[in-house]
Amino acid sequence: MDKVKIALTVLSILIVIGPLAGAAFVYRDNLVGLVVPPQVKSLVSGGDSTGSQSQPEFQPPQLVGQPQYNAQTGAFTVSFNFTNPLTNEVSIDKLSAEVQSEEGGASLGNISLSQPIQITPGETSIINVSGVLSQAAISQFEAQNPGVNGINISLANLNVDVAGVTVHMDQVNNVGQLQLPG
Amino acid sequence: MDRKINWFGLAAGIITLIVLVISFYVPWWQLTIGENLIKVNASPVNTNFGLFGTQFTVPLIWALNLISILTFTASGLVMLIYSLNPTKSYSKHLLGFSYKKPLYVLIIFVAGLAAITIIAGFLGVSIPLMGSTSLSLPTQFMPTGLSISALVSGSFQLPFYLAIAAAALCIAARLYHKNLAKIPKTEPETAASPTETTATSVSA
Repeated sequence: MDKVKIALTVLSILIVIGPLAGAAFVYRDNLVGLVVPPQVKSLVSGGDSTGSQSQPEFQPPQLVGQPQYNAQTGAFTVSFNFTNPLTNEVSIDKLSAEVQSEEGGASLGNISLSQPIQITPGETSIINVSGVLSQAAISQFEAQNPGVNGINISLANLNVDVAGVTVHMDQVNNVGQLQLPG
Repeated sequence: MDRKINWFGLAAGIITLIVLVISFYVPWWQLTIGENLIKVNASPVNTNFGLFGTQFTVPLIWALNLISILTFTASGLVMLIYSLNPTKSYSKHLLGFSYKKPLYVLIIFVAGLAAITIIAGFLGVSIPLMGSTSLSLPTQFMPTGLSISALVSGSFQLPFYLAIAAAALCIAARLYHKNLAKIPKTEPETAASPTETTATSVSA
């Protein structure tokens, strides 16, 4: 039955040609749009060029105020704020760093996130990262720098796990000043 | 009267149509970067991308998906028609049209995935087809002292394995068709041969 064979061959050709021709016709004035959707164009241009939903802009966590230090207990806390620009919830599972003095780079202790934090879409959350500093290291710093009433702090080996992405920074300077008693 | 049915073809046609329906909802292969920061849902029927929670598709890929939808539909339906009428004069054409298509779609899909992973490998990006790995951004694009890595996981989903089954059944249907096609021709010959043999032996 040649008619069946011809009909099936024509059907095969139409199945392939039809959608491609249709797509080419719809995008005949904008052939680039065939392979670059508006969302990707918006992301590349960094703005909302098409009137569609713009892509989120990530900002790294920002330091908030001065680090808090309790000389009696050695408790030390650094606060960051972070805005979730996504349309879904983001979790910060881990945040840890080594606290160092900017002068000399002496290690004073470690800080970390006590528990994972969930941030809902669009929400700005304060993230407190805390730990206990070594009293011996601070006493040694005071002995090496007599008359100094504060230690300028930097963070080394900062690791952040946010939304399944791990960010590592070798050094974060100008975190703030740790006030020494007396 | 016994109606001959190509059971492999019947199963192949049904599974092909089931694969088509399921593939609208479940991708054949899924790639996730981070906690759904970037998501690729790949299938010949419905490929889409998720970027920071925003879903989108590429129009050209949508057109290719439409080709696959029509191919699967035509292949499944024609295979069903053939399976119920495997001894008709036109059945071989129906079989020839329908049995190769799921296999071709499967081969093109796997070849496409393999090509993408190989190209990504040349660019220094490791994309796992199955399983998880840690993907680090190239350091030349990063400021000194900063590194970013993300958990990347890829996995084949149920429709992919169903598509393999459909393609295998299509091939089985093609092979079984040889048996079905032989039966009508051989029946008259086998009926005639004993008489001839008897006549020969009597004359001898």
